[in-house]
Amino acid sequence: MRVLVVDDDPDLSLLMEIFLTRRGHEVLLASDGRDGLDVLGREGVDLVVLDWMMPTLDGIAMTRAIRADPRVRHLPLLMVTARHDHGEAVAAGVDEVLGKPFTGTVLVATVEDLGGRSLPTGASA
Amino acid sequence: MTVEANPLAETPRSALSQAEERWRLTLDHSPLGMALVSPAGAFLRVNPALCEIVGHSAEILIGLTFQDITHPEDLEMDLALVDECLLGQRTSYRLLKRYLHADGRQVWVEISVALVRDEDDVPLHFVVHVEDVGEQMVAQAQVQALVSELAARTAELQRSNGELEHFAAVASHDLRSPLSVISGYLELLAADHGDTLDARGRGYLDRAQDAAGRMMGLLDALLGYARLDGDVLRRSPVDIDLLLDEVLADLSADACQLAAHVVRRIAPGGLHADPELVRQLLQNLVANAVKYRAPERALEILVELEPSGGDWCLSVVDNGRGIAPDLIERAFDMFTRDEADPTPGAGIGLATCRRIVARHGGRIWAEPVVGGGTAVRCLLPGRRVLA
Ligand SMILES: Nc1ncnc2c1ncn2[C@@H]1O[C@H](COP(=O)(O)OP(=O)(O)OP(=O)(O)O)[C@@H](O)[C@H]1O
Ligand SMILES: [Mg+2]
Repeated sequence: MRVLVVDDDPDLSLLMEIFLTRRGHEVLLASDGRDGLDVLGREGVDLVVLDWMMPTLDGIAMTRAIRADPRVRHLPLLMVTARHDHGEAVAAGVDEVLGKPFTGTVLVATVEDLGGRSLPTGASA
Repeated sequence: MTVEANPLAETPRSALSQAEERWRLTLDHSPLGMALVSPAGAFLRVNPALCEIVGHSAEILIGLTFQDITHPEDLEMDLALVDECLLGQRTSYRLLKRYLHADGRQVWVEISVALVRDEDDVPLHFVVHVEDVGEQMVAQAQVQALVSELAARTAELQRSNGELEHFAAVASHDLRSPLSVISGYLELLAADHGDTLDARGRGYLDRAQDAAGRMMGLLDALLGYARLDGDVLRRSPVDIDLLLDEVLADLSADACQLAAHVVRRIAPGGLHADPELVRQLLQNLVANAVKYRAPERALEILVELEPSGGDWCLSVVDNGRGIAPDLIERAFDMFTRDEADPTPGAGIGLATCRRIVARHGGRIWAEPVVGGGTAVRCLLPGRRVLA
């Protein structure tokens, strides 16, 4: 799968990249919501992993922007957050919320489960 | 005695009318300061009470004007009111102002001033009543000081509440994120390089992972405690049996085995409380009973709910090692632990319990159990029908 990871914490982004690439996924990185939307405009991806609290454009605003754009509105969205009010994220349109901290195993399993739901198996690796 | 300035003083004493004599007696014995003051401000007649208030003898006062003994900051307002009287815009006024005492200190007084005119409407003199309000002013100043102190403390309290919420937010996001990074890389290190480490290296890694896990637990407990205040109480009928099932199921596998020795004595009739908070309460109390069990005997836990007057008493009783007597009062304070006990714990559990019970308007305490063990009891108010 081609996964876009949007997080303003470079250490955590790198960590998620390692967990996902070890499983054979391709990872694109963006450092905030605005940057993430730019990448989405240029590159085709299969799934977006995004943080909630980010500078310039946060995860909720980015989710709304994606859900409002016909070209990308179908993308599965996984939010990773330290916040507890997961309901708000779901209401904004994310498909799944993963609380921080998460283990690599859980991250990979959630991404693959979410990607598998909307993609024919093995569509892109 | 009353001293009179010219021209009144020149009036032959024999000519004083009876009324005049009564007026003099009144002045002499009045507890209020009194004076006749010329339209220009000179004291024409003063009484002993006024002399007492300003610290001048009558002889000296008669030679002075009210302007001489009024605090400079209060003079302007006084003069303006005098002018309004002389211009016929008013006939009298009251004013809170300061005199300068002969010894230099300021004296708070309340004056009532009325202008007397003759038949042709020509201003004759002012009749002035002077009350020493120094003590009142001091009392008022004290009240004022208390009021502003109260306001300051309230603001401080609101600020620290705000800070607590802010702290919760910071702890939630800014501490969790780096901790995710730490435990994430530890996980990677163990998975990818665990084999290349020797036994010592793996031991270090285990300790680091263990500590990261404990820190996460600590953060969760602190956050849970901080959040207790923010959320509204959602009271509904509480099924203690059900909550207890959940709590026992959540305990780790071996704890679950131990918890098989739980005896329930739950009176029916419906405790009315916030189920989520009661679950947290039970969780902490049962976890403590399991954690602080006595190694030499099989654990037994009794969970009891019984009516007590119109209220409910919820108890968790164990046959464990018991709380040290010097700790039993303080055990519900934040971070209180038995320092001699190596069992891991943050000392937040019972503080959380106390907060939960307090939010329900109840009371929580611990009692030693004869033969060894601890009973933690919570008195929770019953459902009150509000008229
Ligand atoms: N049932 C019990 N039997 C014996 N000692 C107890 C019991 N419950 C509490 N204590 C003592 O009171 C202390 C405070 O308990 P509390 O639950 O607040 O903290 P903790 O269990 O140490 O940490 P945690 O925050 O993880 O619950 C404990 O450290 C222990 O010494
Ligand atoms: Mg405890």
